[in-house]
Amino acid sequence: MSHLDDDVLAGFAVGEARDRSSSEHLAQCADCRARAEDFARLVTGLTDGGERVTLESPPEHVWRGVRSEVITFEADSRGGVDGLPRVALLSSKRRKVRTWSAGWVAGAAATAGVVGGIGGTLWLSGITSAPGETTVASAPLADLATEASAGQAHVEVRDDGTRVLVVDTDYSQVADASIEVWMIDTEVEGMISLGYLSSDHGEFVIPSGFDYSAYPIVDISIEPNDGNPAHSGESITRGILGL
Amino acid sequence: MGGVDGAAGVSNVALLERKGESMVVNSPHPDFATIDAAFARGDEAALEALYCDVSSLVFTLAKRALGSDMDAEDVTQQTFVSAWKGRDGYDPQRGPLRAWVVGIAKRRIADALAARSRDVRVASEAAREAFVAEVGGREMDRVLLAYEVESLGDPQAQVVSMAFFDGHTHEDIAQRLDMPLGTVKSHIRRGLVALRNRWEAWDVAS
Repeated sequence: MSHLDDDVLAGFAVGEARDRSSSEHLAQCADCRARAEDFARLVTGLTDGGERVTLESPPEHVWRGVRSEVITFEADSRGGVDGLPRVALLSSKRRKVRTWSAGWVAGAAATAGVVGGIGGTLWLSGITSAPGETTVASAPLADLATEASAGQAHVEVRDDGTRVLVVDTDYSQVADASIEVWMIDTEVEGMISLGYLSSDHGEFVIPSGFDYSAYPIVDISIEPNDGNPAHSGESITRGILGL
Repeated sequence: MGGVDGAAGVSNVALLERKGESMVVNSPHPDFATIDAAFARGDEAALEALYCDVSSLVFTLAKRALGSDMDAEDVTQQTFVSAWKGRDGYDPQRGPLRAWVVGIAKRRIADALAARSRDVRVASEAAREAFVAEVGGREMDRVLLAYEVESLGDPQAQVVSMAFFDGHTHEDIAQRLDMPLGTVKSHIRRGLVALRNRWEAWDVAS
């Protein structure tokens, strides 16, 4: 007699009647007995009487976190995109999740190219903006999620020598979070927080003695109100100061 | 025998149908072996498909082991990031990707438990491995089974969970689902065969 079919052995494991020839074969065939035992163990596992397990999906921000880290990792391992400095790659977490399109890493990398490119061409150093203040560097800002233009930032030096980062961008409130303004170095390693944005216009005094030219990336991020002073990784807007 | 191959084919079809209905609507991937291979090559879309497939499994395992939503979220994120970064270490020949990822999750869970514990015993590598094995005990199997049953896709998943998890008799299920008794029994047998086939993959990987 040929070996017993899986379907038959599975039936035995849930108490279906055995005919005589099947019983005889099982008694003789170690291979079929072993498979029968596999099914019996499976049934035991399924009916162990414990409380029923319900699978639970993680909240959506977990996927955003995974994506953000992967984008950063890929950018780093490619040594930057097209030779551009490794900027604007920390994250673009606001990008819609589950778009199901291939190539989201490449998409984020392209954002880096856009921001880097614009930062390199629109260089407004030395333009006098108003009496009593001189603009020494400027950066167009880009929305990292849409790659659309998102206002402008510039550094101005006032008559008293105070250096101020002025940010003009679209501000919208985020629940349980604040919008924080940073200056970051081109390695995306060192950074300084300048404070929080609370409207479309913000002015932030750069600490005296701080060499902001080494931190040309203007970065605006969503920071959960959790008491953690570190950058959340959830950048929403970026620009690079032309120095 | 021939029965094994046929049944495995059925279970894959059922899985794909389930995914087609609910989540990976636009997935270009025809089957899981293809996803596994694409992941190993560094295809980001495969990471997304993988996340859809097993994130609930990883999160549930972590939450049950750690008893905290926040810690389970951290472990879930770390698991998928580690999987992506370490994808060179995944060999599709050695088993399915989901099993490999759950192996990573087990280690992350053990790390989280160890970090919490001030017990010096978990400091040594050997003790840590023992810890991993502990996390992968009976509780682990229960969650894996729940995941696999769900993955069977309806109506098989529904019939199997009514029979085994809820303890209904086959006659009772037939009546409740308005299904011939023979069909109920057939779903249960085929469900068991599919589960057995998929279960072997977990054994290989762990």
